[in-house]
Amino acid sequence: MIEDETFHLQIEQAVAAAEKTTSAEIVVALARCSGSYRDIDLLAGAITAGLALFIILFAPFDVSPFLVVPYSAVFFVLGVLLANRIGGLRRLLTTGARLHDQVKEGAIVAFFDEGVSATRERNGIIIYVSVFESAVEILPDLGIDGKVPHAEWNRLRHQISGAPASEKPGAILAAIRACGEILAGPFPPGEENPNEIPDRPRIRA
Amino acid sequence: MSARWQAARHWVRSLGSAPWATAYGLSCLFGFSIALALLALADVAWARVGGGHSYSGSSSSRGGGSSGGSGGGDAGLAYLVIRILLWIILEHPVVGIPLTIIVVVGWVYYQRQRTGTGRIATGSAAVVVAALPAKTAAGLGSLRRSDPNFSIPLFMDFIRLLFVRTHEARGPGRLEPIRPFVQDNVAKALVSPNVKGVSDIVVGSAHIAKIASSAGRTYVDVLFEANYTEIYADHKERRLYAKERWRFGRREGVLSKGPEEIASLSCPACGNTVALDPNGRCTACQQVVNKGDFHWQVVAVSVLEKHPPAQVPVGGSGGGREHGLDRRTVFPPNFAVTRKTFGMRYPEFSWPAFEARAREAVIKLNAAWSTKKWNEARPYETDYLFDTHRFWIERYQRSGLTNRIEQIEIQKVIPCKIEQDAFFDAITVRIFAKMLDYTVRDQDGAIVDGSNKRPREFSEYWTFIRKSGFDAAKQTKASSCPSCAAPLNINLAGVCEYCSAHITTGDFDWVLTAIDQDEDYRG
Repeated sequence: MIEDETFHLQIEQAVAAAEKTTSAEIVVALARCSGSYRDIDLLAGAITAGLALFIILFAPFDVSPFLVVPYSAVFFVLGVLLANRIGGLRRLLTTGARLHDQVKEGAIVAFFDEGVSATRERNGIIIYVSVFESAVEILPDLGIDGKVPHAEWNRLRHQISGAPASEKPGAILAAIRACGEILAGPFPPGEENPNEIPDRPRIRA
Repeated sequence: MSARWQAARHWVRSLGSAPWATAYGLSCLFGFSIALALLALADVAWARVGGGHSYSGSSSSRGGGSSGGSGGGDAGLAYLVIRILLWIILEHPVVGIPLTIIVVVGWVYYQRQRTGTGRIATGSAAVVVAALPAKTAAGLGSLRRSDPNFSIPLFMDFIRLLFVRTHEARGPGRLEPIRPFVQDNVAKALVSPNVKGVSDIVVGSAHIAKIASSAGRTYVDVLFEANYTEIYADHKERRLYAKERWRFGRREGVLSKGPEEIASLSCPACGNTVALDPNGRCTACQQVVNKGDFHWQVVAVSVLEKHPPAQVPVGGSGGGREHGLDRRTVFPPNFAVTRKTFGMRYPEFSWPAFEARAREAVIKLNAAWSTKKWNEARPYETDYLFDTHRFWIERYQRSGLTNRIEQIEIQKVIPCKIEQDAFFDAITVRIFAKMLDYTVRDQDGAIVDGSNKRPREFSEYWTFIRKSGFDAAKQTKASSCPSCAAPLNINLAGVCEYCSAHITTGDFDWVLTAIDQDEDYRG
């Protein structure tokens, strides 16, 4: 999804079409991951080292006491590397709350980084999709916030999050269209309707 | 080192092959690995300037001023403790490892308690949340993550409505309309052959007692207090007070419904009138809707108390200043920012107009309370709170008493909290007031409580809600229906008698959803 140029083009077209019906600005950001999760890697290392220590202590063969610390260190590094390379393992060790908070933070950072708050009527909205966490955050600016209840955006989020991996791109495009429909009421296009923020999706590391 | 290590190894092996020894050894090593992990985590956390992303702790703090210093002190202390523990583990493993486990478990428990309390403060609308214990508040946080549409005021309205409908249905045994919302076996257990009807149901209170998840389902336990009249087979009637614990269950990840859908108690999958086949399948949408896969469903009911209502306790109070009056007003740490952003969201919003609405609510509610004409209070309260107050008025009436409030003088109205959830905006204000507050016996007019000469001075936190995305053009004028502009005449359900618009849901103006005493309010 992140590397798919065709999908990026589809997003750009969907955003352009949606923005024709409204003066609001829709921004789509796609992120590989919303945090470094370095602490989770270290946790994996600590667990691996602990298991290694357990095996050394209870193994039927003798291990030189001078090798206990080096072995623990090696297994610690091994655990860190495994968690770093295998996304599934890292996700297994991360709580749902942490994943949720990380995506929320990532969305807030993207909201300001991508200039969503820089529209004249404060009517920008960001659809932030984070692949590693398999989560979506939709953040409206203050102008929208006073006119559309959050429940509307939660419903769209739920639709994208609940879609199977293969149907996620379609769900994102449908959400962009739905955004346009929701915003058309409180923010009609007007005569000028300038495109204040480029429609191309932002790819975040 | 070598000798000590060999001794430790020998000691572990000497424990033999007893199962308890293996379990002990495993738990010791598990504790050690956790200690290592904590060391790693602590390192990451301390490296972040400004305390990182955890704002739950700061929001629960009210002292202010010293948080930065205490953060550094905590880090230093934790470092010292970890060093000492590591030393004890290496020098005296028999003592050190169990001690480490105890310290780690204690620390995790402390952190969970702290996080839970913080989430109370950062949670959304309704003061009901503030009274939740830390563990339940953590459960609420988890529920909100999987269901961001979960709204306490809406949930309270839904469970109150369901409580009333279920009791009404159990009398004649007409359970069909509630089948999607009450498990069949639970509903059948509520039916008694001796009871032919249940009427005049007034919910006095509903408190969330527990929120938990297991096996892919979320459960919310609610304690109800209510009055209702049971009509028996011999046509006799009996007014009863009941305290019941209801457990609501739902599949995890279901998004809560909006106010209109919740109030209709229609098919939770398609919204049509409830008509289910024997397997619980909706005849309109063909979905099985009686398993709690689309909406909250009652999965257990236990009656804790059931007896004729008690008399209102009287005596022991007079006029004067109440204890909590001198307490400082509780503000969230970011209140100034929240207030500013709220103003940007609603440019038409006016604080003086809001304050006037709050003052009007105080005057009208107290007048209606004194005269026992509670329907006059109807435009100012949510359905749930209106019912709660009706419950108490009824208790006064049954006790032959009247609580009189006179000479109300509102001294100050201080805005102190603004929150937003998926459907509502909520503003909490602290109201300082003075009034004569006394209770008389209806029979002879004798004062049995309070004073009709010495005013009572007090403060309370009142929370008002209004629908998010509020349209100022729809705002209520005190004397006319905001929907049809006819003279304001609404029934006990909060519905306009002329156009049937439900006007006490916060769609048209701010309505009161909670009142907290100053000594209980935690922000």
